[in-house]
Amino acid sequence: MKLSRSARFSILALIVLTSALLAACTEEPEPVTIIKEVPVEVIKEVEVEKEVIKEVEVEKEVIKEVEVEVEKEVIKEVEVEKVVEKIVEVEKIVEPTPEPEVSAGPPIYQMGIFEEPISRNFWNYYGGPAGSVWTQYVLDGHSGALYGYSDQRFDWVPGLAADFPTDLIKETVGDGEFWTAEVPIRDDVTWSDGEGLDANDFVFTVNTVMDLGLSSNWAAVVDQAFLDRVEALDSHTLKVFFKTADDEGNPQTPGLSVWQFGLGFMPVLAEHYWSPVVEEAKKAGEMEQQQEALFAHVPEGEPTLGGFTFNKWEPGAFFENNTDPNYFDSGTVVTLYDNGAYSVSNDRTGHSATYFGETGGDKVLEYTVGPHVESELFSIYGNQDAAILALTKGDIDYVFNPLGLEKGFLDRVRNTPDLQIAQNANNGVRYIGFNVRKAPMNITEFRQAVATVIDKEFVARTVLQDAAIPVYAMVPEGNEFWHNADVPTYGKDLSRGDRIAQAVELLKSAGFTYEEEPEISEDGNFVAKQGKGLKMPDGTPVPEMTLIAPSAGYDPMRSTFAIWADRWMNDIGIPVRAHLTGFNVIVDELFSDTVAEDLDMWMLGWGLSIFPDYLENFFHSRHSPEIGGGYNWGGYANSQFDELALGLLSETTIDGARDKVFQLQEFLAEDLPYVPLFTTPKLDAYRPSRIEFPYTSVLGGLEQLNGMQQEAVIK
Amino acid sequence: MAKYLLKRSAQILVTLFVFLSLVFFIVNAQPGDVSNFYALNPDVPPETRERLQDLFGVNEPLWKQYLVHLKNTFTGNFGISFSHYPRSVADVIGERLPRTVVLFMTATALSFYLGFGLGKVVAWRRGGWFEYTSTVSGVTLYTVFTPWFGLMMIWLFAFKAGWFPIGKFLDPVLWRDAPIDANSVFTQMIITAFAVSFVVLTVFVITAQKRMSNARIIRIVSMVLATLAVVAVWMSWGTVSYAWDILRHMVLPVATLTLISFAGTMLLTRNSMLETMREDFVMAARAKGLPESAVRDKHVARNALLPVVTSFIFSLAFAVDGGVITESIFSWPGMGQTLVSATLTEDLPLAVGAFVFVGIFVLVAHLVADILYAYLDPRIRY
Repeated sequence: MKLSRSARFSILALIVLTSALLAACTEEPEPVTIIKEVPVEVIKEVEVEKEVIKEVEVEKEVIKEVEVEVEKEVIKEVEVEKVVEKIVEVEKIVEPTPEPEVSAGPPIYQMGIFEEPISRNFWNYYGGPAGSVWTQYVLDGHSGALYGYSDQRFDWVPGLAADFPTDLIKETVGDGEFWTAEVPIRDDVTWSDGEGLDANDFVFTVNTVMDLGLSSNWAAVVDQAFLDRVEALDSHTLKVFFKTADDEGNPQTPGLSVWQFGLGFMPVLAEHYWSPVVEEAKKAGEMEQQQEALFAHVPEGEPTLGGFTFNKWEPGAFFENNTDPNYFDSGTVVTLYDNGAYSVSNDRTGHSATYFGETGGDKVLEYTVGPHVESELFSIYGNQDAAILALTKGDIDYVFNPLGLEKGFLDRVRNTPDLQIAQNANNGVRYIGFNVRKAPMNITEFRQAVATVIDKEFVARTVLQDAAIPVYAMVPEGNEFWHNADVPTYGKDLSRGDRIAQAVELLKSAGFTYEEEPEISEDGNFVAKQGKGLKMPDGTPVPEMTLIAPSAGYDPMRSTFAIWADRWMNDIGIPVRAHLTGFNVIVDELFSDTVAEDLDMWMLGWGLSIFPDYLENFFHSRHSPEIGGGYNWGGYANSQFDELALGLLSETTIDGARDKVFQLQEFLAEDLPYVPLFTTPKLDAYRPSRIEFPYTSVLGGLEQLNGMQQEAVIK
Repeated sequence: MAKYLLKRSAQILVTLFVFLSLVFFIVNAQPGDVSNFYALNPDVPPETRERLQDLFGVNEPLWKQYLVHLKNTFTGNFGISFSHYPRSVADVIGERLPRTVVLFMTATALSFYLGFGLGKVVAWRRGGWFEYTSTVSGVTLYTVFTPWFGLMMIWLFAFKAGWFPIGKFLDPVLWRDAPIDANSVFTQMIITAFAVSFVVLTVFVITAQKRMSNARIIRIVSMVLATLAVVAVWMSWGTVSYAWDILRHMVLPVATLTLISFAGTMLLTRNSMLETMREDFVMAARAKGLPESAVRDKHVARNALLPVVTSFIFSLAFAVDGGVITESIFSWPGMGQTLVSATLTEDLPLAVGAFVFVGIFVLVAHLVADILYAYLDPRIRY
């Protein structure tokens, strides 16, 4: 039989396609790991646990596993001893090695992001419309501040400052009275272009923010309700002046949130580069035009302070920062001791300092500041799926996931032997809020009954399979120093029957009445008959209410919680309907002019800061939309709380602030303007065979630290 | 003809006005605005939201925004993109368009070439196994769920086999030291494609019109010369490796797009061919003793070409729109991905600008198709 030309072609094409498919589907050969024991003399100090080393020497079969343990333990450094001894070096020869593709060139830290940064103008990022989290990731290595948080423990430690500031004192200068403090600035710090950092850079940055009326994060760190001005006493001494009274003449004190955790955290920008740009912008006309002119500037050769300088941005493809060869902190050894002491020391620059005690105890963490790479490359992917696939394949070392790692992706990462997941507590909370202006939400017992009837543990553990962690305080447990573990916990660990009974009891104690009370099944596991005809203390029926919550498309966890909350509230006769809708619809309703009348209950979430001054932002009556246009959408107003919250803002000592934060949490957990529902664990996927972090256990995960760009070591 | 063109242009202007209005109101019907994305940060003072609304003008009355939108569009100024602030919408579209044009025009041309070729053969050999195989596989691919198919292509050929990159349009490690940006290379590729097409088409038309006996040789020689010229020009530009990198990244998305769309052309060609084959002039051509391939290609296929060309022109026009799904899955930052992200982030100027740009392109394409009708079919006169 003679086949026609096209038939022959078709058969050939079919064969080629089949071969391709077969080739693609063929299982890759399992990497064979050959482990050789090679005794070597260690010529440097190696910090490892003795026990682990013994295991390595004895347990030949489990060397591979133990090796991982060694890495983990070194990172944790729970029990670190300086020893010089023989260890067994475990050499891995993996054949074949199709993945990961380790680059033969200079080390590049390759990270995946799946949205485009908006701008590389720092003013725009920090105070303009470019303030996206993606811009934050790529500009993290460009800036520095007077003070920052220490690793893992989040102690307040000097960064560009040479030491802590002097105590605030009330001082009369000229014709005014001010709270003043002086800050010594390090003299070993240089910008990436070699110019030395001096106090005038800070003065310039603050003045620019004030003169141009920059908002957003700039307004948060330069709080003009408090800050009057900053002055350079000399090239390395800064003096800050805070107002002693507000606009109405009431006395005020700049507390931690204004000074230490506010102005102290302000990023500083180089005067010698930005000054002409700012001067030009000031000629643009009104303040808005001046801001636009400043934000429109595209920096070229901008000096930076954070260890990296901009190299290239290929829109839609990648963003690259090169290492700053002049980085002043490069080579600094950071050490944390178990007695609370924190020390930094740099042999190259001679800078060294110790805070919070003496360096005598055991080291709990020690690492050397980098950057340990030639450059950092942020590859931009179209979606999370593509980014995770690239991570799995070995194209990148780490992926940023600000919205969390979805279950499917998590499973994929877990099934990839070369990848590791760091799981940490998240500094965030998702909650139900009440419009306390309206009945019955204005009755504390009603809110307590709602909190009691919602079984957070059941939804988090049984329904969501531990993807969520129940919370009861407005400061999540992960924020250990500020979290109050002894707040009232309505409904915690109660059976369904007890939960219903207690909720009904709470309602009745406030004067609510039923036409028909809910009936619980004999085994106490479910409601046999829902409560009906619930009436308020004044005898009027409880009105139909709506709980607006994000739909499953935006957040499946919150929508699940909303559905269950709807059911449980109806069980005890509260006529609520969960309305699952778009995120924008909810936000729009919260910011609408009719929020006081239209809103009943809503479900949203907050990403939180370490220092919990947000408690004042969310619940002080001055932040109600009808008063100050703030975040207190529910209109919560309690004079006792207000006083306590304002006290937190003017508190100048850490211990005093902690005490107030604890009281505020207790207050909120009892009064419940929000019912805190849950938080989620923070999961970071990375490739340990390529990349090493000094530690992976930290609140908010590696992402909170922007992927530890200055500290990561590429192998 | 001139009168017709004038009339059509007026119609296009009216259509454009209606389209502009619809796009504006539909995009604005979304709840919220861009400031919502800054709203839920407790570190950011609440007044920031209002300042952003002032900055972007989204708190102005809708009718005022509409008038500004109309004025901007007709003066060619689409405003500033919120999500790429402070870049202009035109700048963002100018950046994204070449990437989409290169990807989708290549895929469209390939799928039409494949579809037309197969359609001819399928129509000519009705009832055979080739027809069944082609039709079933074509229709299967045509109706396949595109995101799934795209992901399977990536998983098979990029992830498992490792033959191609996983998405994106370039390799960052290669490009980090590149002396040129990607858009310049895309532009060079577009210029090259148009220049080669022009040369080949010109040679083809001239040789056909002059009925040269050695037309085939001339065409081959001109193709070879064009190829050599392209190589020489690219060598002088020094960007061959970068273009090659882009081409490597194009293989999977182009293959995906071609496979899922060629069946449409194939079936259209087949149906058009089947109708034409019943015409008397085909019988006359056969009666004259012409070879089957000549009857098929020169008599039937040429007359069956009209609907296919129309479809092709419209496809090219819509190619500037990109493919939301394809671009997202293959991390190809073109017009489709821009449209999606602009809509999701409520970047109204960019979303409206992108829609309007596509709308204008499609309306112009309709006009071009009308003119081509007259050229391709002498029976049509306006």
